[in-house]
Amino acid sequence: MKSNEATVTEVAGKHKKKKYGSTHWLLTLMALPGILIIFIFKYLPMGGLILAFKNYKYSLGILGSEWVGMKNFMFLFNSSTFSILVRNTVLYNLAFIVLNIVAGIMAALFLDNVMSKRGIKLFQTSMFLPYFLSWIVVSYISLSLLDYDKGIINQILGVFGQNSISFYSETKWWPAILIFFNTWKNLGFNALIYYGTIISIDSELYEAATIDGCGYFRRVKYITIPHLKPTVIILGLLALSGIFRSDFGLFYYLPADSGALYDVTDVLDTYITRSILNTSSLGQSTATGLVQSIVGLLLILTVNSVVRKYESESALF
Amino acid sequence: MNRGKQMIGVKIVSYSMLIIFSLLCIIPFLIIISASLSSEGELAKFGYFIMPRGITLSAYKMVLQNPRSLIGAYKVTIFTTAVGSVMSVIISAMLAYPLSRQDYKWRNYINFFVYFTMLFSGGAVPSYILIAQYMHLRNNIWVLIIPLLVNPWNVFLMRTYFAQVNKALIEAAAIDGAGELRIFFMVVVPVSITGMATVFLMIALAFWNDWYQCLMFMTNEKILTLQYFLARVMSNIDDMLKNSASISSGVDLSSMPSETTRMAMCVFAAGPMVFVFVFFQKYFVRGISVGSVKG
Repeated sequence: MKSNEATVTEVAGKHKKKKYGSTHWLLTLMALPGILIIFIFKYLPMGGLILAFKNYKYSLGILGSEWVGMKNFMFLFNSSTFSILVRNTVLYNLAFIVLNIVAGIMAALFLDNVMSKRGIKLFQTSMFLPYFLSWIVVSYISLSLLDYDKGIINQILGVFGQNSISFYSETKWWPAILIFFNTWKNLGFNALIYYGTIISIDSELYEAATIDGCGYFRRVKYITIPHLKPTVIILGLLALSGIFRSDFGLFYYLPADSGALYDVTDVLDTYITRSILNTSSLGQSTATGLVQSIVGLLLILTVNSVVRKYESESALF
Repeated sequence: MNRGKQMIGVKIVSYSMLIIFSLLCIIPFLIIISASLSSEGELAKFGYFIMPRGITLSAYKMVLQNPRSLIGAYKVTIFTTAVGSVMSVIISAMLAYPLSRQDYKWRNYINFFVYFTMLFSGGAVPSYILIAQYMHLRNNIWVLIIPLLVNPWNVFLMRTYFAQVNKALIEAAAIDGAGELRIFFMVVVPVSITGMATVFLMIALAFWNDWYQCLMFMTNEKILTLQYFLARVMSNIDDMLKNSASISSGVDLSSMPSETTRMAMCVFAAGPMVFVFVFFQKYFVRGISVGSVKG
């Protein structure tokens, strides 16, 4: 770190000695609006985390509210809701991480076998479309599929003489529904990233392997997959660090915030947001947020140091 | 020979799977569009379908005849998207540029300052209290813009673009006596304009699709974004149905937007962005491929 700085200033000195003594100040001035916004909207709330150790009263404000020590945390860790929330959040995220990687790589490998440029573009565009929708629009789509009377799925079941399913009141379908829509919405994005990596692989490698008698599957196994590994690790790492966080809209709007489904659809973020919207138990939800942040930070530091040991190229920092 | 057969098999599987994936992604759009073009009676009778039944534009007429809120929401979204994207791209670029300069003294500190927010955050509650109770920004249209102006991802993405600018260009401009601001706006920005376009589109998408800020901070029905307006339409109907089930009287069901009208609103909310995407796809594609570069 120190030697690094020394060389930076040295280089700077050499270039700018003559008339650019003010360069550093000018560059700082340019960065200032961005720095201020980050400070206000990202760093000030970090200070607000002290609320996790307080009993928040609106009239007393953050600083004036009474300290309660670890009470908020004790309450959380002893409540059965919290463990359900953690279970849902972690399990959904694990499923999402695995499926996003698997589906993304599969779609990318398939795309790589398409010969015509136009075909690639057509498939890519179609798969990318859902990425541009908000979860609210997706919730309209899911309604058209899952509606009790008019939904497509129940119509299909009807054709086969099956009874209609009341999706919005039966919990057992929701893990599959949420996992499906998450994969569906992100498929195009993930496929694009992996496909981008695949086409950047030197084609001579494949030619040499083919000459040496490697079939398609061996080429994928020994050339493509190893080249995808760094991307998978980086994306997986980032996703893993967010394992206590969720794409809030998916869990809030798709089940239409239906209380009957909370057991399988409620995650930490929906719990926190509901508590804000009802302005109730804000101390506890701040504590929940603090747990989310600390777990995320510890996870990314741990996993990153492991990665640095074995795959130093793919480490984040 | 054997190998050739294997490749043909692989191709058949690839094409079939891609066709299935693509259909899964496109059919839901067809269902929504078809519902918005169907007649209310047919939809109620037969349910959703991938083709419109009893084609009519009456849902769209309904939306446009009773425009109060939808048009209002459109205005809000257009304002936040236009103003927000422009401000955001400028502020992010001005932050990203110094970070891309190897010779900038405080580069490492500011880098860490930005990067740390990706690893740790104060969470939703403190942000909410700060904005609502200390800054008093509730029901202020700027709350839909200002807190979202700087996203570290975009900053690092732009830093990557700026770092690729030929150093000789910057030095030549400096020798010609151009100041830092001039170098930035007259040399660096024009050279990395395609990269900036990508980031601009991604930011615009985020503003267009935002509803979270509205959910948190807007109680004034007049300042709702398009997406949140859609969510309200849906949840109002849910509430009414719940109430009508329990009270079963005095609920004016006819005042609710019909199903076809709701789907027409959905088309209005999603349509423009999907349209923009199809035209500018190559920018998105390029930007996202570069986006996986490590920070």
